Amino acid sequence: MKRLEVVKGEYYDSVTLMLVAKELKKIEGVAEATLNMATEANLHIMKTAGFEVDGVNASPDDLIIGIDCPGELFDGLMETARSYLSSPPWKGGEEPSEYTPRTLEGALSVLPEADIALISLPGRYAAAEAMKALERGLNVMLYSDNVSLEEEIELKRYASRNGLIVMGPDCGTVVINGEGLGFSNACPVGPVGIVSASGTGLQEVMVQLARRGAGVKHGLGTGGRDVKSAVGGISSLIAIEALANDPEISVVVVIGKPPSTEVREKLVQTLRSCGKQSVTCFMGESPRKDEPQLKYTTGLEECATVVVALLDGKDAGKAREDLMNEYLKIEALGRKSETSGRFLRGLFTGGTLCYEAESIARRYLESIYGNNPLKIGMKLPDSLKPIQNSFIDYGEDEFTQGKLHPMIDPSFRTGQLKMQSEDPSVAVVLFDVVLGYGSAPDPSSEVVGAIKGLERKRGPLYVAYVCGTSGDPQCLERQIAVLKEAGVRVFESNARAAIFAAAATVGRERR
Amino acid sequence: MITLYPFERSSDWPKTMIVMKVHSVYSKAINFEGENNRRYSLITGEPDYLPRAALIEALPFLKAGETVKISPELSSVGFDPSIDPGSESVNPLWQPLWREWKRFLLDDRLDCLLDHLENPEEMLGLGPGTTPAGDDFITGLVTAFRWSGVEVNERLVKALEKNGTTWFSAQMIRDALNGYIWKRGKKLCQALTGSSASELLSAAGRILQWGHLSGRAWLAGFSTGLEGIS
Repeated sequence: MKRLEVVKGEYYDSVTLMLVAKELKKIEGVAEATLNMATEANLHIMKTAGFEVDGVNASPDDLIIGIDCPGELFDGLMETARSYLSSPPWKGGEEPSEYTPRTLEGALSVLPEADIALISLPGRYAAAEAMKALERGLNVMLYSDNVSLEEEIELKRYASRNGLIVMGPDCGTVVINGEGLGFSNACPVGPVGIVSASGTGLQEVMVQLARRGAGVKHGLGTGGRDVKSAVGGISSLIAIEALANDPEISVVVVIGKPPSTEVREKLVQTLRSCGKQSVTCFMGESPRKDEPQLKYTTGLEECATVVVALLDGKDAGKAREDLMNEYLKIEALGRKSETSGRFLRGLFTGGTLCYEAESIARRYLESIYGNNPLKIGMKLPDSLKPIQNSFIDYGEDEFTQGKLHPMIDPSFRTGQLKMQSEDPSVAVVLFDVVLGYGSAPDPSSEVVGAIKGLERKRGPLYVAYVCGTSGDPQCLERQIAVLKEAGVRVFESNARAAIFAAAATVGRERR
Repeated sequence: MITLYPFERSSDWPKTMIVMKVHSVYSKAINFEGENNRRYSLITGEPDYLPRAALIEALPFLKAGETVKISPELSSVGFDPSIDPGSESVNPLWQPLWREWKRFLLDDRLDCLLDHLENPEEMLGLGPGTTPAGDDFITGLVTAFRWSGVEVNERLVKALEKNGTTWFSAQMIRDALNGYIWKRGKKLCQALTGSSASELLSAAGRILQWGHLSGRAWLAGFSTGLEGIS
């Protein structure tokens, strides 16, 4: 029996909500437990999961607890949920041995040399705190999303006037002197500097560089909107200049979705005059002719390949050509693969990985729907009910308001993956697994649990990419082995996985 | 009647054999009721030192109401709970840090104290916790006053001398009024006069580990006291 209760006016961070839900699910008789802030998107998700939310009197500031259990257990479980919220069972009896400052002023009193503040708060509070940090002379990494465009512009203009940078909002990854902030992988430090308007894009390029023996000194995130006309690339331009002035950096890289025309022009001009070898990776753009000091790439692995060629003093064009030949072989393999069903479903936790994979799949498949589609008119009416070929980014705002990002808690994506897999029209399920600091401790096992529990007679073909390195806490090799053991085809890059998955679907759509 | 031999004691522990009645038994401490209704404690961990306490290897199995003898014969002095009023001042560098401790009162388990900041004596016995959080706040507040060499308001002293809270709490407040302090608090005071951030964070962290809410309430009171003085 699915029942819910609204707890008025109580805010809990998404980690607490996830952990309380996990604790409740351990209790015998509990089939499902979900705790969310009562945003419209979350209510929709709960409704789709079978909870009766119509007529519920709740605002986004209220907590909503849904439990699927025998009716007689509900009241007791609600009491348990409340006690877990006030006294989390996963916390030991004692506080950490060292005091953690609660305010910016307090933190600066014990760390006066700090020059960066990482801000991770619900979006509506984040901009004010970011401004406080800027006013104290700190650069800002703004991890929070749901910050308005106007606030972003104001913050970035203030930073620019004061010789500072705002990295974000919605900036999941930053690397400073080889040290990762937010989601990051264990990668070597080296002579590459990256400016990135996308979090998982930065992770993928760093991982691909690491697999080729190259390292990154700084990876500066800017937030995806930075390269739009309204913001004008303020942070990207500051970041390029900073990297250009660093004598330890020999190649400057700029990554992101395609910028607006005028921002693109500014970025390219700045790179041309920065005095260093530069590489752009604007995913999904048409290929352009390389310039002596500036190379153009359109894929994340391609970008890493070209950077390594530059570092090694080799021909970037040749390196790119070799990679494309490898892609051809993978495409051929994909076309030969056997599966039932007709359509491709791309189910991603990493936004840029989703974007790149969809832009690759578009070369093979006529129409692709999504919750954030590349082509106008292809937006799914309901992100929870994908149709035909669809790509879903579960890190989009609609899934993360008051909830954890799916890279931290992949359980929602896992549930959707299982549901999609049961659909007999689905031929291929393409998904990502992102490892590293900040990510879930064992994401592959979670997915495999869903695959193994499938009721469909002949399941779809599973294709995956694991973004990570051997040094990551989850252990890359183990994560890959777990997937392979469950029959998943695992590829060495996001692009390769997307090519294989799309090629395996080609021609099936019309059957 | 058994005789216990602690190996270390606070400097205010009696120098002769004493006979006391067990008041309450915990996993890491036993509290005894001694002369003039005073609390004495046997503890197993050095960080838990408080006025009139002695360290023992392991706590004996005792029940409330039993009578025991405790001999200081084999023990050395390991902790001086007295504070030297006004001897040292807080390093101004740490002001933003200790000021934020007052924010612990925003915790919904402690916000019942917010209405009584003007008249802290009203907090006596107020709030959750084995030692009511209001008492922890008052102890922190009085400690800040005593440590800074500032006279505690007469009205507050008189109110606190009334029997308005638990036996244990009343002892704790009385000790603070007399200028005696727990080891965790003393370490914090020392760190606040120094220049080491790590020592300060560590000392403040140890206070937070004290009880479920006690450390938070104590820090909030201490911060309020320092704020009043400054």
